[in-house]
Amino acid sequence: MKLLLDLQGAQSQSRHRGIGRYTLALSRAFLARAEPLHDVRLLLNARFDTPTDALIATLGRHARADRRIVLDVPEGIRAQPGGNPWLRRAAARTMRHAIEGFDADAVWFSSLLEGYNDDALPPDAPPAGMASVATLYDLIPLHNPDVYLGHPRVRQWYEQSIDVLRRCDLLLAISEWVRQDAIERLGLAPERVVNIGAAVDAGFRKPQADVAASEDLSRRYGMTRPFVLYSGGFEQRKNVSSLIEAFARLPEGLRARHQLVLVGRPSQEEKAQLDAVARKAALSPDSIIYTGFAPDDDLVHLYAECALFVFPSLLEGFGLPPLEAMACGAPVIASNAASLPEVVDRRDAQFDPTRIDSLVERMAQALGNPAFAAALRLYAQERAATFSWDGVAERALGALQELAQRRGAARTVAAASTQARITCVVAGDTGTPAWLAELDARVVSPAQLPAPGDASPLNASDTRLLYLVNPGTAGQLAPIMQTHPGVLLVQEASGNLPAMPDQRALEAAYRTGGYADLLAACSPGAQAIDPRLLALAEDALGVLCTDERAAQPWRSQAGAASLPQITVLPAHGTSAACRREIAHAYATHPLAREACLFDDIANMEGKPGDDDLAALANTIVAARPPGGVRRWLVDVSGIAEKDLRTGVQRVVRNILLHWLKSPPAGVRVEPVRFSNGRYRYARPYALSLLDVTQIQLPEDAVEIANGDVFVGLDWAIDTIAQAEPQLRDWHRRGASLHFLVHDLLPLTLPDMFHPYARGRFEDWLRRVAGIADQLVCVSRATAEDLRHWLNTQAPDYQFGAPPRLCDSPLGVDAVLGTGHSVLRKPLAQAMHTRPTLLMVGTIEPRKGYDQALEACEMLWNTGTDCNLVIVGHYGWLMETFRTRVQAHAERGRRLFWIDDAGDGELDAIYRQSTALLAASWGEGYGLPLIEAARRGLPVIARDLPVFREVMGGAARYVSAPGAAELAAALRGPLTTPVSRDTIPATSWPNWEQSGAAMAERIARFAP
Amino acid sequence: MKRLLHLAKQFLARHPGLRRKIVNAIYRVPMLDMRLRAVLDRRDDPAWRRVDAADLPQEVRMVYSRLRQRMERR
Repeated sequence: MKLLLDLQGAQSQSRHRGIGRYTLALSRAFLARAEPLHDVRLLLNARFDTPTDALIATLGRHARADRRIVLDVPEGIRAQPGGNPWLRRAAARTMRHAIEGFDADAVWFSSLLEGYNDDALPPDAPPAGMASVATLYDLIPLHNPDVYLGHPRVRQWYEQSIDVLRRCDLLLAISEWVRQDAIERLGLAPERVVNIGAAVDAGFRKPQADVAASEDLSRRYGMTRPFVLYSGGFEQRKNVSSLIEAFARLPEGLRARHQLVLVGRPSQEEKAQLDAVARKAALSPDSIIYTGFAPDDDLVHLYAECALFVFPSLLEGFGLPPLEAMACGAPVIASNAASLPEVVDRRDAQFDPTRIDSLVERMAQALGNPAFAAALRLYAQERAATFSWDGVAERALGALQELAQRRGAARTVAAASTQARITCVVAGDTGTPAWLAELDARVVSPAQLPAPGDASPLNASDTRLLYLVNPGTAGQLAPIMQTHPGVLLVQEASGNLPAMPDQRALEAAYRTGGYADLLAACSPGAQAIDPRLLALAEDALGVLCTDERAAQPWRSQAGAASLPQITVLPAHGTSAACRREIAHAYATHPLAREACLFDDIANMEGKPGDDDLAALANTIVAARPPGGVRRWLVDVSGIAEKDLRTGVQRVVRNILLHWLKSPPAGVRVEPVRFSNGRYRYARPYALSLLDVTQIQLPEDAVEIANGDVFVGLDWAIDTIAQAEPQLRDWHRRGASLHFLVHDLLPLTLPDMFHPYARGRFEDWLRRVAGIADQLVCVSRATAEDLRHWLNTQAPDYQFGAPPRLCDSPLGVDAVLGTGHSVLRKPLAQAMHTRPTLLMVGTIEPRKGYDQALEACEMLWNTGTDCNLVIVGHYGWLMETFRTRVQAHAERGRRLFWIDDAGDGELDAIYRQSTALLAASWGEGYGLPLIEAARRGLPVIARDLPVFREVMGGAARYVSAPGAAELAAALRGPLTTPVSRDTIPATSWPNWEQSGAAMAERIARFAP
Repeated sequence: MKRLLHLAKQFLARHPGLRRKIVNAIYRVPMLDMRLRAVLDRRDDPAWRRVDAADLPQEVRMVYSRLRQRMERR
């Protein structure tokens, strides 16, 4: 059974009340019992953000991304004054449409009485095509409408909600009394209401005796003698005034020895009324204690320590407080009204709540007879043990299964209607097949189609459109199909594909198949389908082909693109098959179902504004089930703004280029950037990276779907603070989030970074760690650092669980430079004259330039003739070093600092140097080491785990805590250079392999 | 306002006695209680959350125009 469980009752303001607690407790027990036998999906409302995160964390694996359906509903749709009635009605209709689209066997609403004072959104009617089930807590407002439904708006909202409730196939009542009440008041057949009961949380159990805690409790709440306890609400039906009167009428000795403790939150009016009752009964001020709100921990102790718990309610859907009290071992007496005898089923523990004498008698018996009190205590725990959430879940599951069986037996498969009138739209010189006459179809030209909503037989709800297309006329049909989606009939295979399709066809190629299809469309011979036909696919409900040859190109494209169902019509019985397929497409395709929704919404009274329609359109799109093609949204916020040619940006460029050209199977890669307050498609950047100049694409806002993958490939430190709320929202909706982590150096080597940079880095890391599903590190060393940081810092994780960690190595350029670039003159001369020690990297403290220069000065002073060549931009916190280099006596002779070297010159320097020195005190990876080694340059590296991981045996390692040790380590390689032929052959992945490996790691943990 | 209330909640979480007194006082005024809950539940809708008819994702724009066409002709 595929079941949709609507959890809005645990998200909305009801989460503060019994409904929320009941929903959460039952859901946990139910999911544990139902899965994996049944496919249970959770329906959540995206308007409730933090409560949803807490709910997902609590439900754990049962609420994993592929189980969640998070619907975005418009803001401001509450039923109370100030809400938008038209938008609420339209959104409720859309909610029904969304639920119907998930093709479940049953939907179970945790609470249909929602949305009065928040944006919870039950549907406007039970959805069609599936069984509808709702939890029924009580119908108490119908017992006393003047009290509960006095306000006309409340009454209207309640009646509408009850109407939906009444039309559900099955109601799960929380007690037998509620069940009988529903049968009677709603006129329901008995088999449509099942009592599943209720239970209390496991936290309500008899606590260990603790004298100190008991004294502390008494001191905090003001108890000075044994007490009679009440816990619950204070509205009239709770009958607390009778309890006060009865307490006052207890025999003098008993009354004087006890206090009455009332736990709960009376309103001012209720408190005044109860005070008046107490005054009239001449109770002394210290006889009654109002504790106010008491947390569960205190409540457990109050229950356990009371002399008697009394529950005098006149109307109760279940009666949770007496059950909680019994579970904690309290002697309990309760009224014999409504559902309470189902909880306290011992006759001598019941009383008539309408007769104060009855209440006095029972209280006196329990307080004055220790044996009776002891018997009640014993009974309480035995009775409470018979209530469990697992039992409630078992009954609920049984009722659902029985309903499914009943429906399964009764259901006749509703065949899609094949009686609808077909209209063939034929543009230009498109030929019509002979069998079309058998369809008795109207044949019209595109110009004859009326606008949607116009009174015309062609707009009737039973009209089905069949578009006959060929590449030459596709351009005429594209704008018409956007407003009149229909089925395409393709009669011949694409002939000669255009050398270069026009802008519209290229846009269509991108929209249906992403950058991979766009590149194919731009490359003559590479595209499968004529891009002009592809432009029609996104508004087609289905593609019918007259032979396999015509279908083949569509099929070959379907794996990577969002295409409708493709069907080949048989040679015989073609017209009947065509009619059948058209009917099926109209019955199942989301666009056809949406057309019905639009018609219903258009028929609603009211004048919506542009923003209302936009909000509703947003909800409708968000409600679409995810398509077959998964998207990877790759963050390029920094590099798309400005490519500073940093090492990180080099990684972004190379990996992204590979992903765009060769996306992982079934994946559409979309670069995105955070701009103007939201994520947008970074299409101009992607087109420039791919060197596609034939079209321009807008930077539209990104819409998210469950199953999408966000990859934080760029180091978006400038945008993360603003972007985080949107990423949290995407995460909630079922997107999985992955971030690339290059290093933790600002945290592991704090002295080597500016405090401001440290703070910004830590802020970035804390934010991404809090929301990530996976952090992909560029090396095992970085992954270890990160694991240690997560263990010690324990950031606040969105769903309560830390991210997974993995490592994926970076790549190197497949093709080395030619080495033919000409070096600037003084450098060329110096490198020709003496051995050269090369250092490559930004000038920053951790790179060890200070120590290297000092070591070289020692070498120079002791007669070792060598060059020190530094290639890198100036970074930070190295002013002294810069001044020292600029004023150095050897500058321009044996000391060179080149901060503007291009790729060609750097390649030449690598090739003409004697050794590369990597003196860093910390690194995330170490690309210069690989670049040097690949050119046969000996590498002398500080003995860091990351260097050993990256270079293995291809480097010589030195620890060199001081300049003298470093000088000693360098002297040998400079005076007796190692032959380049002796460097061990080591292979590093190229960017293509690196990109593929990273994609594999992401795909492995994406939903 | 919402931020202020959250800070207040965090502060009161460290002072249970004071929290109990304040919560009891607020619960005695149902309108105030409801309003405070509404403020706490209200989303701080940043730009990405606002649905702007002039800046819609492509698919939403298409649905919006289909809806509009029908609304205009009813």
